[in-house]
Amino acid sequence: MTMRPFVSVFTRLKALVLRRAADAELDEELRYHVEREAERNIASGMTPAAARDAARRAFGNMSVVTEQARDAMRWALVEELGQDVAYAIRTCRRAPTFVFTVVATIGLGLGLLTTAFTIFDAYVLRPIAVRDPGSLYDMAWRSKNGDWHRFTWAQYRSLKERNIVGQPFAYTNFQVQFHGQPAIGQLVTADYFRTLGVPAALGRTLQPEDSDVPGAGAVIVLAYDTWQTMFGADSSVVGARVVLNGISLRVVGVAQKGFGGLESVPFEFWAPITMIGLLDPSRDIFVPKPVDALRIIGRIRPGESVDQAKAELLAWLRSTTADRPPPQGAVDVVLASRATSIPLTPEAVAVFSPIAIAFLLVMLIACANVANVMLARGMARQREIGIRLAMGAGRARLIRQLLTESVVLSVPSALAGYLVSRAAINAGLYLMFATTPVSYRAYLRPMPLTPDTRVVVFMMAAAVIAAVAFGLAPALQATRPSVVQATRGDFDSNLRPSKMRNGLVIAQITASVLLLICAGVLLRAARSTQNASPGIRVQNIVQVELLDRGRTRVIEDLRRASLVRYLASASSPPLDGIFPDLYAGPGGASPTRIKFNIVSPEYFATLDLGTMRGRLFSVDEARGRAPVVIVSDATARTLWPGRDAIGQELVLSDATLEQARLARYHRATVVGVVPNVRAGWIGLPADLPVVYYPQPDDAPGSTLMVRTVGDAEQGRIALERLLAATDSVAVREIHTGEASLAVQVYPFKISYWIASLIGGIALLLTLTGVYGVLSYLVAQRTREFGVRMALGASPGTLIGLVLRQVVRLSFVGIAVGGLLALGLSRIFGSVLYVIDTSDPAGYVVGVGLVFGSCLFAAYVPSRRAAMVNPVDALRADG
Amino acid sequence: MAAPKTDLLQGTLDLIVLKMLRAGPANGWDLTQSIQVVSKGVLDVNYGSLYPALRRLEAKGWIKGRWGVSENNRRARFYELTGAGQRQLDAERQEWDRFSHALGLILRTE
Repeated sequence: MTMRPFVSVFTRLKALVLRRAADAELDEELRYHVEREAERNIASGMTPAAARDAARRAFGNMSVVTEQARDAMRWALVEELGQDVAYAIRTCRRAPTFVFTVVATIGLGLGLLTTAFTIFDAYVLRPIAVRDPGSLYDMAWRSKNGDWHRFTWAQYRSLKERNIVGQPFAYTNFQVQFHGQPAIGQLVTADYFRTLGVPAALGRTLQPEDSDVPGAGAVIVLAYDTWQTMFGADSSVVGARVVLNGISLRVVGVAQKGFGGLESVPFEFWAPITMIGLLDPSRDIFVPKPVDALRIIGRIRPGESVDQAKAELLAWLRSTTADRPPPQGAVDVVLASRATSIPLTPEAVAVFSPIAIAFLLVMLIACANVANVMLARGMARQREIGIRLAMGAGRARLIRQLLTESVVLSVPSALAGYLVSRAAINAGLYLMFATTPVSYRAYLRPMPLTPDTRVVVFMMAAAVIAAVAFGLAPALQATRPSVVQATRGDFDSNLRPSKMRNGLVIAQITASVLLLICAGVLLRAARSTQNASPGIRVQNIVQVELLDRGRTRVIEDLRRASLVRYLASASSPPLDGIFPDLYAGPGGASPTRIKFNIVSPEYFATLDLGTMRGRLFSVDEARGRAPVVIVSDATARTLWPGRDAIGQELVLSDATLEQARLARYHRATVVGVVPNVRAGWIGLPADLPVVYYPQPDDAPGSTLMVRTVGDAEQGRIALERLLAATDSVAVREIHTGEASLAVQVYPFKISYWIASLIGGIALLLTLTGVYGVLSYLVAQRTREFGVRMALGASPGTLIGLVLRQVVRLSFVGIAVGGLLALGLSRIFGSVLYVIDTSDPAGYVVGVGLVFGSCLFAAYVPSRRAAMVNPVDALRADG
Repeated sequence: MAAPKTDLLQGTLDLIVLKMLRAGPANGWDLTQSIQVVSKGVLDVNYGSLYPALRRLEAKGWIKGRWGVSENNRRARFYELTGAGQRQLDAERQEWDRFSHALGLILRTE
């Protein structure tokens, strides 16, 4: 009996899906009939032709019969479903509060889940709008000393000749001020557009002769969106000139709509790679000893596996790096798919899965709430169900009908979820822009987060799965009473709804504890990074990135400006990313990994980094880039423990000496010791070894650090104006120290806010869940409470009785949730070294909040129990 | 959601088909022949309603069709009664008995 709905569902599906096959079968069946009729006619003495005619006449209009048979089949398919749906809608209309509760709860959970999925989809799943994105691979290689490398121009030319990968193109990302706004584009080889199969919406894309020789191709292709927003979709833009870094480029075309490059940031323009030396001399790749900064993407040839391509590439790389010292020889190649913005690798899944799990937990908590409501409703409807059972309705049919009710509810829930997710995405984007420091806002470039087919399918599937999840268990429970019991009005003896309800509440508490512990831990991490001192002065600091052209004049102007108190240069600005590494040690000893920065003498005064011992660089040492070094306290303690570092010699390793800018400092004498700093990023430990080498103020490629007399933000605006007057294109970026620090703390804050939001919603849902279960429990035991009351129990005893129930449930949930959190902290502790994943305070906050809320939710029903009037309770019809 | 027009005989045709199939699997042609024979030629089944009825019964899960070989060695579609069909037959039969009994009572009263 129970099998029947499934069998018939299968038959229906088959009939609907395989309709053409079903039609063919019907045809054949009818033909058989007519043939038999004809045979009988022949047997009774007709001629074959007359027999066939008669048979066909007897049968009537064949196509009409076919049509009717088909209709009969289809109608029977929808008839029962239609009945169920109509009944479900009728039932729902009678209980608007119930419907609202379910739709709001599921809508909320589903909305959050869909928000997360929309983001995941935009970055990881949505194929890039180019020809055959699945065969595109990004390449990188590793040398024996463990460093990762990209490629040189010579390597690109060699790879193109070898035909190891199909249609390779090379590129580098390029950031520039464009119409007074920061813009990100790419410098590419001209085969870029041809390989990707991206046509021009207007004009042309790049052509081979655009990137023939260094310096060639003063042209630019704009992204469609850039053309729309910056040029007002003016079609006369083709042939116009734009100026990047003072170099005039001719606009030759606009790329196809919707194309923004292959990465997780939409690009705004493309120019030939051969222009790099003119656009930014410090990054020129056409020099005798270039850094391998070119990225290459190519296609895996049809029929070839990634591993085969890898092996061929490695062999080729070995030969091209054969002339380098052994530690710099190629030992490994990595190919990353460029089918989507972020390749769907195990790493990507590992990064996204904790977030996905968090959102999924909220969804499950919401489902548990609804299942509880449905269960309560199922109990309330037992009389109805019992009567229907008594009248001969099959249990399977009833279950199917209750499930239909859930599915009918899932449609408005999915709609609500959609609205919630759109609102959440819009609010999230708005908040992201609103909370980012002003000077960094123009750098935010989220991918378009429009819902596509995948998002809609995901949402519908999640809604239906949720409907079945929250509808199935209650449906099974509700239809359990036997006919005899139901007619007697005795429902409880055979049922264990309380067990299921308790299980659901425990699961909710467990999930809430887990989420709130995460929120607690992240809150602590956000606060500790916010309170962490970078080790340098941040107030009154303005950081200016300049083009090398005109650098000297800008520095002269700044020196004269009255609002500039100190001015220094640094190869790595101290709040703008982790300092690079070098390997060095006292002569002869094995080299240690140390972070370094090359700075001008006034750097230390600008950033309030006074010497602990020794002295600072002299102006002459800076100008001559003398082999002297200032080390951090940690460096001195690590390299020369128990000895005075001043006067010691710091020797660079051979591999480090390959870096041209460090070659002069091969053997440097320590002249001073300064306090420790966080080496470029607030998340780093405070005591990493750092060393400083000298350079002049106007060293090419370095960033200026300015200490202003007054407020930094006003100083920044004043400096921007002043520099615009000197040289309109000289400044690339200008930020205050406080803004840079805020940007570094930002990710910690964001993750804390998101975790708190999710945890808060989870807690709210759990709260209502606990409240619902205990209210039901109190209502169910009213008679018992009345008896206890009559026998002399005090209200306090009754309150205690109810509260004990919730304490029992929450202890189980908190224990399981806490253990899960501890287990997870083991896993993630090693990855997130910035966050103390076993921070006891975080755990106390999470557990305390959940436990307190549970007690709070239980208090109201327990008061009700205490106020039971024994006489009324005993008179009431239980 | 209006039901498609059904002729008055539909309910009875379903009952007849189910009853005939209780004896064992049969194809459409067999059914028309045996209905004629059993009803002694009184009932002449309209083919135009038999095949739709078979499809309808199959979709409801009361009968099950499968391809087999007919007695003249040709591929034909045979139908057999399912468990659910069996129960449906019993229920409809009782219903019919009550109905015909009631109708008889009415017709007998003068």
